[in-house]
Amino acid sequence: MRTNWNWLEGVVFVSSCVLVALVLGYLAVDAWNTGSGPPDLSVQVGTPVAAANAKEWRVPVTVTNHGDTAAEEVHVRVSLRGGHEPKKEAEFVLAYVPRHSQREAWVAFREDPSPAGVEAHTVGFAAP
Amino acid sequence: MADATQSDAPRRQRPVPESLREYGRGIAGGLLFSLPLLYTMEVWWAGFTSHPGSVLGYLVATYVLLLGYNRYGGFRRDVCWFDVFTDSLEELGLGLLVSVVVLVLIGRIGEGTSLQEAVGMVVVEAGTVAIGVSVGTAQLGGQHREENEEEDKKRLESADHVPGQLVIAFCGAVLFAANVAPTEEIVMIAVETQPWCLLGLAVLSLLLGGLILFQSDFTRAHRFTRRRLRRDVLAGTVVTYAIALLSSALVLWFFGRFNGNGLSVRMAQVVVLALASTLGASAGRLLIQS
Repeated sequence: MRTNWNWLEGVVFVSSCVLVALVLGYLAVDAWNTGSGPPDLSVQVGTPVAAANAKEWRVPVTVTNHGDTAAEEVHVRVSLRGGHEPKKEAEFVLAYVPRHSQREAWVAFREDPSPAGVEAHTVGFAAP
Repeated sequence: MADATQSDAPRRQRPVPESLREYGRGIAGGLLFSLPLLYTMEVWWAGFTSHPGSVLGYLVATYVLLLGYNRYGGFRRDVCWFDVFTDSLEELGLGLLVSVVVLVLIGRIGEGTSLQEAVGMVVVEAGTVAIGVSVGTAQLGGQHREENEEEDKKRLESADHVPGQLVIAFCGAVLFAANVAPTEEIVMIAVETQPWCLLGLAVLSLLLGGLILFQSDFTRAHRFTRRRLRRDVLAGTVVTYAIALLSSALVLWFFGRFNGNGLSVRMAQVVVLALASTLGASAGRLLIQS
């Protein structure tokens, strides 16, 4: 039996035990609490920011997945609320939004989004 | 770690610089084997798209593989199980640590990363890093390179230890398969390749396995392979390919490559990946044993 470790070997061994135990414990609890329901996506629009040349307005969009499984190829459409037809729209695709996680993206408009505001929603996603 | 488990009981306490060198070798080996995986986005995705139960299973399976390698790698028959358990735990811990550091440095784990996502990515990457740490510690030191008749005799005897050979071949196969399995290319090749070409790939894999183990004297393979009868050679080749197929299927299943695919596509993926696994089960096995 190896008991005569030097201090470095002792530190590495104890740290490894703690790290592995933490990860195992976390995964066990997470596995216990995680169901197999579909992704549950919500989209939040942030405050538009004018570009330096003031010819473009950039809008931050946050997509959050509250579901128990990841969503793949998430298509999000962002449009200016109200205004004239055809509506100004922008779209982006996120490769993945993992469960209980969020991803941030930006869209750009040629006209000032305020005061009409911006609305955003997910158009579709795939199950990985 | 694994290299330190030579039985020279009662063992002296090693100087700290020597331990430091050994850990350095282990980390270098870990990176050497796993860097392609650490830089592959399909592997990051596998970490957070898999159910935490599967990730937990992957971690436990990695530990079992490490136990197998530390018990039979280099055929240290006299090694005690306590050392095998503690070494494997250390290697797993180092694997987790190295994965965290690299994933943070390459920007995969940052402020916006959720805990679930980070843990999933780290564990999936850490599996290969840990096996690399184990192999690196044992192999990069260079002390096994000396030709020694007694050592050679011991290794030849170890060729008769079938479970040990199987475990080492499986470790090598998983190590190689895991580097390729998560990539989209495997599915693409499997879908686009004609059945006759797949059969050709299977035959090539079999021949390659047999050639490496019994013909080319790769890293003086005769020390590790039983070849007294023609039957031994044939069985060794077939068993190696069977291990390659099995490990390919397991790795593909873990990375979710079977989901939604029909039997023919699944089989095609296994055959395509088995070429890499056979290299691992034969050449990899010889390398990590020599």
